Amino acid sequence: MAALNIDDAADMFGGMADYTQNAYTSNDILSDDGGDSIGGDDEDQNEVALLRQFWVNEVASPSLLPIDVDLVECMTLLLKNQVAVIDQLEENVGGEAKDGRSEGREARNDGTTGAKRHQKKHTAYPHNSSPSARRFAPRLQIPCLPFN
Amino acid sequence: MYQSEVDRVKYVLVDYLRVRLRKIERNALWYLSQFPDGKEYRNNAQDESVTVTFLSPKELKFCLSYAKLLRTHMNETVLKHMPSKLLDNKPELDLNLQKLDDMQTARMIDQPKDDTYVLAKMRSNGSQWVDNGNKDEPDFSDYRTGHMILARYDAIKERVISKEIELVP
Repeated sequence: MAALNIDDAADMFGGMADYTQNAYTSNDILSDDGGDSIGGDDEDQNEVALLRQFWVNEVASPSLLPIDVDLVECMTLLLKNQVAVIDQLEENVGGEAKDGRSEGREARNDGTTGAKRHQKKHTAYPHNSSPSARRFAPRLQIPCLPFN
Repeated sequence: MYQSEVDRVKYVLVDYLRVRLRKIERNALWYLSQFPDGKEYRNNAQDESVTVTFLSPKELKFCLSYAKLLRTHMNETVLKHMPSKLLDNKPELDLNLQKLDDMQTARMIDQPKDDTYVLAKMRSNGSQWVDNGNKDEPDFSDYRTGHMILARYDAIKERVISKEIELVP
């Protein structure tokens, strides 16, 4: 039984091979060296790339493929750690924003003009001011796992 | 950025496990008949015994409980109401639904459709591959890394497991 080579077949129809390759890479949720910002070291990046490879194969195959239990447990642990780190970061940022709010309240009570008060208000609520300040503003904890 | 990257990896992990659970639910009885303890014991090219884990301990537990529920449901809704002559005294009818319970009749159990065609991508040069004894496998000696192929899944399954071929969803 011979397998059909998509590249050869596509050449006959004017370079569809490039399209198939590009379509495949652009549809990837994670790149081959995915997880750049997770963990930060090569080992974690390899694990994310490995998980991506297992996931892609599992989605496309009609039957079950072997599972790497250690990898799944490791990734679960890694994600828990990362979520804890993000929570800690948000807590810190939230504390700073709270300090800013109390400053704004003091400004309103000390008899400043409306324009100055407006200026103070914006520094007190960073998510209303510049894009860079908005980035560091505390975010709501919304579960964002997509479901089919 | 950091949060969205974590969410992406979380999605991949959750979807990976969810896809596996969906497959287990679809063919729970068949997987239990093939891998009673969730593992397959095989010999590799060097004739060394290798253990391949197809079901993790938690998946095996889920599969066992799901299969038990399924068997109970089938017995209560179908087998219980079948005429006794179909079940006991007529082996030539080839129904043998009673045997569904003791997992002896694979004919009555749905199998995964491994004969479907899948898109795949070569992860290494086919000329370097060691023969794995699969007679249905196409000749990949002319194919190089990165080539896309369309082939029957059961013919390339072993290559997917050994990570020489990557499937494309």
